[in-house]
Amino acid sequence: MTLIKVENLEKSFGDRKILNNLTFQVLAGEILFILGQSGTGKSVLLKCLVGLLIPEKGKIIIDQFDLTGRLEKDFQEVRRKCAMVFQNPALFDSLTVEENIAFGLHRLTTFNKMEINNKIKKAVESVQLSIKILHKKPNELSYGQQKRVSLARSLVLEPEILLFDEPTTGLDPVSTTAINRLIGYISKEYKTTSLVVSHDIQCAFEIAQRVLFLDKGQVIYNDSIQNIHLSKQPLVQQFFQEIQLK
Amino acid sequence: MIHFLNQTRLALPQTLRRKKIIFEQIDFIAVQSAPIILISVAFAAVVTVLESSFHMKLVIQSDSMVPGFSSLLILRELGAIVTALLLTSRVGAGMASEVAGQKVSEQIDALRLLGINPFEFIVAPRLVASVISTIVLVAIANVVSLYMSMIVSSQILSIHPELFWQMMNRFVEFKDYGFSLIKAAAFGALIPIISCYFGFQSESGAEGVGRTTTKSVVVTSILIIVFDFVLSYIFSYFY
Amino acid sequence: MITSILSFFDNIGRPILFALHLMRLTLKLSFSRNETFQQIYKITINSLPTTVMAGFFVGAIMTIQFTLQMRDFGALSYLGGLATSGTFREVGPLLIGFMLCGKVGAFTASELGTMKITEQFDAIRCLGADPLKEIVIPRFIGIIVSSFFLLVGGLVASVAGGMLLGILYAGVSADEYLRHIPRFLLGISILSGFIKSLTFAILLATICTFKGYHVNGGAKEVGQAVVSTAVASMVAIVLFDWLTSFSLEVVIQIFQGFT
Repeated sequence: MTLIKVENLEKSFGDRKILNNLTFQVLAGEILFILGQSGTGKSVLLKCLVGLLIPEKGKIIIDQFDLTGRLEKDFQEVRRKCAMVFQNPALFDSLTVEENIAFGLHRLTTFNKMEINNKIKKAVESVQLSIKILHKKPNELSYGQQKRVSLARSLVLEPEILLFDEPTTGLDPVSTTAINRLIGYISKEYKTTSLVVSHDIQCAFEIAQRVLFLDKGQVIYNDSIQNIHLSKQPLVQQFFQEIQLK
Repeated sequence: MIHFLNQTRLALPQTLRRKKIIFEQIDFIAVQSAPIILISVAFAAVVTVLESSFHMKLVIQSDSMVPGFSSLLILRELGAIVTALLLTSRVGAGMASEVAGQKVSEQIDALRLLGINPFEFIVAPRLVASVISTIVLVAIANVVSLYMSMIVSSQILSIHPELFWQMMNRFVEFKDYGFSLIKAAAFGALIPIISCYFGFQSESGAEGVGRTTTKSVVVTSILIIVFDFVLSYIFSYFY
Repeated sequence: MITSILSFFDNIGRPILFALHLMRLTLKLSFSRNETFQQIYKITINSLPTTVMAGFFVGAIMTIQFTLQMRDFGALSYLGGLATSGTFREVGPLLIGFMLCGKVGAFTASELGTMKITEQFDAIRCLGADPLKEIVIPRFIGIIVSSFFLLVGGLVASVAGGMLLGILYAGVSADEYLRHIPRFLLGISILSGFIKSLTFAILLATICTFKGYHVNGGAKEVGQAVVSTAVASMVAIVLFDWLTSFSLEVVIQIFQGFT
C-alpha cells in the first residue's frame, strides 16, 4: 500500500532550484533511505512533507490526505501522523527532558496525566535511555543522548511515519551505529514507516529496505540497496566505491 | 583582564606597522558609522534644546539662557556620550561578534601557530583605530549638534542665530571642547578593549557568540557611563 | 538606487507588519501566559542591577553638570528639582532605553536566533504549537512590561545618585535637595517620561524579536542579527526620542490653547 505519494515536486530558494520535478512513492512499513550529496534538497524535501516549507509546484499525498494548498492549521493532522526528528536535536533548552517529550502530547492529544507519564516512560525506554535523565536539562546531556531524546519526543506521539533528518551527522562511529540500529529497531517495534535522509551509505546498507538517490533535486536511483552496484549513474557509483574502500 | 591589558600594551608599538588593518578599522568605525551617528546626535541636540527650554521656563520664565545652557550640556556630556553609546552598539557589538567568530572557528589559534601575536594583529590595531576614530567623530558630532541646536533655537524658540552665537561664546570655553575630546579618547579605548576581551573568551556555538556580543555591549555601556561620571567629576575642578 | 530605496522601506515595513501581527495575536489572548509571566520576571530580575547602576551614575552626572551651571547664578537650591526633572523627563528614559538595547534587546535577538538556527521553531511547529505564541509573544510582552519596572528602578536609583552627589559635591543638604523636587517635577513630566519609555520598549521589543526570529544560517548570522538589533534599536530610540518630545510639546500646546 502506498503511504506517501510525491508528484512533480518543485521548490526554489531565490534563483536556486532545490527540488526539480521530484516524483516518488513510499510504501507502508518500509525503511526508505534518501541519499545524496550535501545541498541536494534532502532536508528541504522532508520539511515539505510536514508543511514546514511550502513547495511551489507538485503534489504531496500522505495517507490519502492531499497537502496542496493547505493552511498551517490543516497541517496539524499530518504532523500528528508524521513526526520529524531534526538534524540538530532541536530540544527546547529551557525545558527539562520530560517537559520536552511531553510538549507535543499536551498540544496534539487529550491524554490525562497518568497516560502521558506512562507514554513518556515507554518512549524513553524504547530509545534506550535511563529514566533518570527525565529531570535533566538538554545541555547536561551528551550529543548522542540529545539525539535520542529528540527521537523519543517524536516517538511519544506514536506516529505512523517517522522522518529522520541526518540522524547520525556529528556523531562518533560507535554512536552512529547505535543510533542507526535504533532506527531499525524502532521501525519494527512501532511498525512505523521511516524515511531517513542521510549521506551515510554504510548506515543504509545496514537497515534500508530501499534507497532513493537524489542529485540536483531529482531522483537518479530508486531501488533496493543490494542492487546499488548495478547503477550506471557515476555519482551513485562513487558513493558505492567509497564504501568498498572501507 | 590585567594580563589582557598588558599584552595589548606590549603589542602597541609593533602594531603601528600594520597600517592596512588600522586604516580598514578606521574606515569601519569612523567612516561607515558617521552618517548614523551624526544624524542621531543632531536629533539628540534638538531634544536637548527643547528640554532646556522647558526647564528654563520653569525657573526663570524665559528662554533667554537656553543657548548657553544647551551648548554647554552638548559639549560637556551629550556629544561624547551619545556618540560613544552608539559606537558601542555598532562597532563594539560588531567587534565582539567578529572576534568571537574568529575565536570559535579557531582562527586565533591558527594565528598563534603561524607565529603571529593575536594582540598585535587583532586587539592593538582596533584600539588605535578606535581611539582616533572616536576623537574625530566626537569632534564633528559636537559641531553638528551645536549647529543643529542653533537652527532649532531660531526656528522654534525664535532666538536669532547671532544672539545664540553671542550667548554660546559667553558660556563656552575652549577647554570644554578639549575635555570632550579627552572623554572621546577614553570611550574610544574602552570599546575595543572590552569587545576583544570578551571575544577572546567566547565559547563555541551560535549561543556562545550571541552571548559574548550581548555581554560586551552591556559591560561597555555601563563602563562608559561610569567613566563619564569619573571624568566629569575630575573635569569639574578645572572650571 | 531605486532598489536601495525600496529595500530601505522594506526594512522598515516588515518589522512594523511583524509587530502588528504580534499585537493582533496578543489581543486575541492566544499566547502562553505562563511563559509570559516567567519572561517578565526573568527580564526584570536579570536587568535590574544593570539598570539601577546606570541610573545611579546618570543621576550623579546630571547633578555635576547642573551644579557647574547653576553655581554661577547662586541657584544651587534649585539643583535637586532641576536635575530630577531632567532625569525623569528625558535622560532617564533615554539612557535606560540604551541599556535595555544592549541587555535585553541583544540578548533576546541572540536567544531567538539560536533557537531558529537549531530548528527549535520548526520542532515546535511539528509538535502542534505556534512558535510565535509560545516563544516570541511572551518575550515581546515581557520586554514591554518589565521596561516599566526597570524604568521605576532606574529613576529611583538616579534620584539617589543625584542626591548623593548633591550632598558630597555641591554641598546641598538632602533636605534642600529634595525640597524643590515637587515644585519642578510636574505630573506631565512624569507622564511624558513614561510615555517615552513605553515607546522605546515597543520599538526595542519589535526590533529584537523581528531580527531574532528571521535569522537564517549559522553562528555568524546570529552574531550579525545581534549587532544589527543593537544598532537599529539605538538609532530608533534616538529618533523616537525626538519624535515623542516634539509631539508631546504639540499636544501640551493644544491643551493650553483650550484652557
